Amino acid sequence: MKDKQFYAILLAFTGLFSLSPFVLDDYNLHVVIVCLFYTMMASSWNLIAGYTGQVSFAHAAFAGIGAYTSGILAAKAGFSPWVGVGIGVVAAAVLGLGVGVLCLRMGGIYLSLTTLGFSEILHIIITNEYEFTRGTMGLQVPGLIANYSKSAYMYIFLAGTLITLVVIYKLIHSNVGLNFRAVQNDERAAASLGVNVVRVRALAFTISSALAGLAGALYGHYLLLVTPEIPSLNQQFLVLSMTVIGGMGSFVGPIVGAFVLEVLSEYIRAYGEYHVLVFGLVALLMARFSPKGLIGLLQRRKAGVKAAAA
Amino acid sequence: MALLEGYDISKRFGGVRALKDVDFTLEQGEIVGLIGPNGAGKTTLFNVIAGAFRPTSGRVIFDGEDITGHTANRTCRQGIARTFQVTRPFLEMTCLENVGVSVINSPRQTAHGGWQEQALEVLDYVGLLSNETTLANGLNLIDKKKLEMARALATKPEVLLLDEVLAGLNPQEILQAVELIKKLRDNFGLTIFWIEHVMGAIMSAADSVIVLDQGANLMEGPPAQVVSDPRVIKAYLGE
Repeated sequence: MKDKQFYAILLAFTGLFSLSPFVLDDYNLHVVIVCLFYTMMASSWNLIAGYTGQVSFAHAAFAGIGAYTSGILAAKAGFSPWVGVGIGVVAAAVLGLGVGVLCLRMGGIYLSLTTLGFSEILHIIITNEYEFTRGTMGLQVPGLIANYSKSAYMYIFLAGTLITLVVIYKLIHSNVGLNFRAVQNDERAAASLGVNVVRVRALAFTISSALAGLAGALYGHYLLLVTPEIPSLNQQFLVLSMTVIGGMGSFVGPIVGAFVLEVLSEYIRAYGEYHVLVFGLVALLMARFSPKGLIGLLQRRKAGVKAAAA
Repeated sequence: MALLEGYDISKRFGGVRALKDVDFTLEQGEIVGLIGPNGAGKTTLFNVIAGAFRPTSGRVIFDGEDITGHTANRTCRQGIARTFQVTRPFLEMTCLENVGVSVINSPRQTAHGGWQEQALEVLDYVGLLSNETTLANGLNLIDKKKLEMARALATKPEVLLLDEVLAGLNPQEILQAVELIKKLRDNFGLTIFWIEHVMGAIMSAADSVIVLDQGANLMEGPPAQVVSDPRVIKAYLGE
């Protein structure tokens, strides 16, 4: 995809979403906002998992760090929520760098288990540090704007999503992105050609965590209640399912996955928590039969049609 | 002055001594063959030089600087490139991108043009230009070897470590590859350290040959002298 084409498509979608507050009711606006939140989450997870092959289970945890840092600063220390969001992003980035460096010498399952452990530890701390976090009750936090309105939040999340997508697009189409993919394909070969594997992996972790922190912080101030549900494994597996079903390692895949799954889960809400189970199963089937997700299926179909026409 | 030297290099893996006090010297612009029976420690020596393994003891000197224990990527940036015995292309990337990785990480690139132009030049040089947009996954063995070579060259090295680049090629292709290797030395002044089992190729291209046996130096000298030496014949064929 050429740069111009990318920005044109991005602009078109921005225009389309900007119209949504004029045509959608509050409930549907809420669905759009949640879709945008998951787009930010899935796209940034795809950056480490899809582009550098580090399947981290701590992505929801970093969103939680963003949400709680910003929430506590705003609710307890009287910071402006916007400043809180900024500090939340930095906190997520710093912890992301820490976890990334800790996992540098690990690959595959060991990295996944370590990040899973980190995620659970964080979850336990948040649930137990009642004084700061109000545990499972959830921490009430102020909103980002004085007069709460879904339309305003739609624009805020649209801006957040645009920032996230542009950062990721720029990154994967730069030299850094080439290094990301080299490291994912073969670390040893990459190192032998001069790629600083340590730096590449740590950088991916830091940026991806910062973007998760941004998504989480905004989300907390939207819900006005920060609960341990944000940094939960449920959330993590939902983001994973979205990325895998949409198409891991492709730019558009996680976006498609986020929208399809979030809209679907609104429809099958009546069946309670079983939807996560269903998504997990579909993700498994996808990973087995179409590792490149829905995007991969579409591309294969297109190639098939072309081949049939020729 | 010698460009690349090793002194008393030893490498232990648990109880196995893979290298025992190995010495070597490469002059600038030389092609030096490294031969020996299977398990002699040839690839281990390359791994030590290229920074994939830290030696248990001993030193590697490159251009007067002690580079012992430098990481693989640092060694490469300093000017020592290698190829792997079993090729390791980035399978999910195009040939152009494969070579591009070398270009963008090398501190010695020429200023003009983006990495694409420079990578194209190198692909052209090894004869892979028509495969520019092919995924490395789809290449046959010979083209994978060419790609491996192209990636090493694109780092703009001073020393090239070649690990059995001719294995699996037919006689015609071997001739072409040997010509390419000679050209690298003649046109770019590259210094080449070359593990090879195809003796004819070593005989025709190498200035001198180092023989390893069971992890230790056995002998070294001009190719003709080495292959007729009774110790070398004994190492390969037994009594």
